[in-house]
Amino acid sequence: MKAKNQRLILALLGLVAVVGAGLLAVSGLKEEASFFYAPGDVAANDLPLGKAARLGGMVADKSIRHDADGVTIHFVVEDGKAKVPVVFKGIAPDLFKENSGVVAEGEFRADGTFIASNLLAKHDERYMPPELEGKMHKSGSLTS
Amino acid sequence: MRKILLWLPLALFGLLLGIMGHGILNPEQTTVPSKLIGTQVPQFDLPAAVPVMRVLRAAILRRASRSC
Amino acid sequence: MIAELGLGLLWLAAGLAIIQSALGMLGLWQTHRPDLGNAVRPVAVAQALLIGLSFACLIYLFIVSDMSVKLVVANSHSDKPMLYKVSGAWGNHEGSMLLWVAVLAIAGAGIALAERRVRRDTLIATLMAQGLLALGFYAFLLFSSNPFERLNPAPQDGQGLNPLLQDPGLAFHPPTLYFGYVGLSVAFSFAVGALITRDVGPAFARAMRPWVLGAWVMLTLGITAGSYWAYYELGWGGWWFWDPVENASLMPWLAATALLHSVTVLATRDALRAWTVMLAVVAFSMSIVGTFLVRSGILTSVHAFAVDPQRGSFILALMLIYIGGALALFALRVGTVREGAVFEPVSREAALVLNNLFLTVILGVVLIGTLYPIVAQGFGQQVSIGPPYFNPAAGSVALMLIVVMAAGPLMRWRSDSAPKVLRRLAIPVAIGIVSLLVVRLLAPDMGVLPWLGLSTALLAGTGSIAPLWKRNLLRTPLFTWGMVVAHLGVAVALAGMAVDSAFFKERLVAVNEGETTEVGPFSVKLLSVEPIIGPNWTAIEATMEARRGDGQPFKLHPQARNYSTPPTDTSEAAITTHIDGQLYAVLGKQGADGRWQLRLWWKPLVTFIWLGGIMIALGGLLALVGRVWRERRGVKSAETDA
Repeated sequence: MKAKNQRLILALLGLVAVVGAGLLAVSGLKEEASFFYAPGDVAANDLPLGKAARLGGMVADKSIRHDADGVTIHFVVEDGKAKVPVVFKGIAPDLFKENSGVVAEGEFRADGTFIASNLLAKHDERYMPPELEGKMHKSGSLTS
Repeated sequence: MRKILLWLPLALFGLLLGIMGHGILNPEQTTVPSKLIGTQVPQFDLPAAVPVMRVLRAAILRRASRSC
Repeated sequence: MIAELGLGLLWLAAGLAIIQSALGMLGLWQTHRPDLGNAVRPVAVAQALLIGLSFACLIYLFIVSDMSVKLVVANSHSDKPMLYKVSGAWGNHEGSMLLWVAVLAIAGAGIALAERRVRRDTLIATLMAQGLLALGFYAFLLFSSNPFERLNPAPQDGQGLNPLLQDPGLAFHPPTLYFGYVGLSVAFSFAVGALITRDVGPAFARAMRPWVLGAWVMLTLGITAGSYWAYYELGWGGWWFWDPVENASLMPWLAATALLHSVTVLATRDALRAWTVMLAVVAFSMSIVGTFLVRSGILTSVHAFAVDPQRGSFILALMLIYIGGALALFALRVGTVREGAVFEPVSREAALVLNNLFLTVILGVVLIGTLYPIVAQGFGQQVSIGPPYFNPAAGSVALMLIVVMAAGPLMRWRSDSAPKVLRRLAIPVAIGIVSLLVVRLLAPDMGVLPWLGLSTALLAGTGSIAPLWKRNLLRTPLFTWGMVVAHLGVAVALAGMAVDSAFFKERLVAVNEGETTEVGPFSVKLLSVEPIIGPNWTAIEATMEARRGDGQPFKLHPQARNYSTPPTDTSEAAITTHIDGQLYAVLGKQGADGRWQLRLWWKPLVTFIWLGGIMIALGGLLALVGRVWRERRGVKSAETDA
C-alpha cells in the first residue's frame, strides 16, 4: 500500500481511538457516576437504587444505634429539611458523632435506607459566632 | 480531511484547557455547612482559670463586638 | 546568606536559560555563524550547574533548619530526623518546583553532553526548546513561588512536623515521579526540535529513546511505590482508588508507555513519524496536566497537596503556551515530514500500532473520568467518579492490550503471516483457554473482570517468555531481556490484581480479649489491647496471635495512633507477608460493651501487584542499559530485535 494511504489510515485509527475512548467514557459515566445527595434532595421515587451515591448532612441527635455484632451502626442523616436512615458496617472514623457533619458513600435501598460502605467525617472550621466575627478579622488571628 | 486531522490534537487540547480553566474559576463547594452558622453564640459563663485572669462570659463578647 | 545565594543562582540560571534559547534561535537562523549554535551546549551545561547549586542551597537551608527562611518554617522542624529534613526541601510546592526546574536543566545538560548521533541543527533546536520550557517555570518560581523567601522575625522553630509525611516512601516519592515527569520533557523538546528542523527519523528516535525509557522507569517506580504506600498507610486494604492524584501520575505513564513502543518502531523501521512526534508532545502535556491537577485544588482528593488556584492558573497559562504552541507547530509542520516506511496489517509494527491505540483509549477513558466532575459541576451536578466507572472501562481495554502484548514480540517486522503468528502463539493461547475453563470450574462465582484477568495473565505470562524460546540465551541482547522481564512483570501484576480481588477474605468483628476469629486460612486471637507511647505519638495497640492451621503462631500489632503536632489520628495496620499473600489487620474502636472492633483481611497474591511493578521497571532499566550499551559499542545494527 502507498505510504500516503498508510498515514491516512493510521490517522483515522487515532481518531477511532479518541472517539472510542469518548464513547466508552460516556456510557460508563452515565451508569456509574456517583451523585451527591443531601437528605432534602431525596424524594422517595427518585432514588438511584443500586448505584453508587453519596449522602451528606448532619448526624441527627441521639440517632446512633449499635447492633449486637459490635460493628454495625444505624443512624439518621438530616439537613433541616429531611431525614434519611443509614446503615453502616465498619469502623467509623473518630470524628463521626451526633450533631456533626458526615458524608456517607454507598447506595440507596428500595425502602429509602442508605447502605453506607464508607463514612467521611470532617471538622467544619467555619462556625464563627457573629459576636466574634469582627474581632477575629481585626486581629487576624485565624490560623488555617 | 487531512487539515482537520492535523488540527484535531490542538482542538482537543483546547477543550481540555477549557475544562480545566472552568474548574479553576469555579471551585467546588466541598464542605457540608454546619447548622450553627449564623446563630448566636450560646450562653456561657466561665470562671477564671487562674486568679489573676479575668472571667469570660457571652455578655462580654457581645459588649466587645459592639465597640468594634 | 545562603538563601540569598540560592536566589541569586536561581536568577542567574534563569538568565542562562534565556541565553540558551536566544542562542538556539540565532544558531538555527544564522547558519553562517556556527559559533552561535555551538555555544548552546556549554550554556545548557552551565545552566544546569547553577540551578543544581541553587537547589543544593535549599537543601542546605533545610539541613541546618534555617528558620529565617519561610519555606523551612512552613515545612520543617529542628526535631525532625535528618532524612525528613532533607526530603522536606522538596515535599512542598516551591521546593518541588525548584526540583522540577533543576531536573529540567540537568536533562538539558545531559542532552548537550551525551547526544552525538542527532543532526547538529536538530540538537540546537532541541536545546532551544528545552531552554524555552525552563523559562516558563523559572518565571513561575521567581515571580510567584520563591523558595528562598525570608521570614522576619524568624520564629523559634518550624511548623512542619506532620508525622504523616515522615515516611521513607513519601520522602522519595516526589523525586522519583519528578524525574519521570520532567524526563518526558526531553521527549517534548526533541519533538519540537525535530519538527523545526524537519528531521523526524530513526536518528531522532534513537536519541529520544533512552530518555523516554529512563523517565518511564521512574514513573513506574513512583506509581508502584505510591500504590504500596496508600495500601499500608490508609488502612483500607485497597491499592488503587482512581483518586485524581493517582490518575495524575498514571496518565503520563500511559502516554509514556505508548511513546516508548512507538519510538521503537520509528528507530527500527522509520515508521510512525508523525504519530511519535505528536505522542511525545502529548506525553509531556500529561505530565503538566498531572502537576496542575495536584496543585490547583480543582479536584478533591484524599492526597491533598498545597492548594492554590492562583498557581493553578499560572500552570494553565504555561500549558497553553507550551503545549498549544507545540501542537500548533505540529499542525503546521508535520505535513512537510515525509511519510515513513510501509508495513502490512499483520506485522510487528501493526501490533505496536494496536498497543498505542489501546493505550490511547485507556488514557482517554482515565482523563475523561478524572475531569468529568468539573464538567458536571458546570451543569450544577455534584458527582464523583470512582472504581465502578474506571475498573470496567479501563480494565476491559487493558486486557485486550495485554493479549496484544503477548503476541506482538512474536511477530516479524514489516510483514508476517497470521497463521504463522498463531502457531507461535499456540502454547500461550492454549494455556489461556485452559485457564479460562479451569478457573471458571474451580471458582464459578468469580467476577467477570478478575476471571478474564487471571486467564489473560497466564496467557501473557507464557507469551512474554516465548521470545526466548529456541534462542541462545547468552547471546540474546540485553534489551530483549528487558522486554521479556517487563512484559512478564505486567502478567505478574495482573495475576496479583485478579487473584486478590477475586479471592480475598475479609472479617469485620467485635471481639473480647481471648476470643479467636477466622479469616481465610488463619485463625487470629486477640490477646490484649494496651495503651502505648511512641516518640511523638500515643496509641492503643492490640496484640494478636495468628496461626495458619498447625503452623507456628506469630504476632500482629495493629495500632490506633494519636499524634499531637498537628493533632491527627492514624490507623497503623499490621501486615504480615507470607509466600502466597498478606494478612492485614486493623484495630477499630472499643464498643460500650468492651468488645474491640477488628478488621482482618487475607489477601492472596497481593504482593504480586507490586512485585510486577518492580519487574516492569527492572525490564525498562535493562532495556535502557542494553540500548545505551549497544550505541556505545557503535554497533551499526539493522536493529534486529527479538
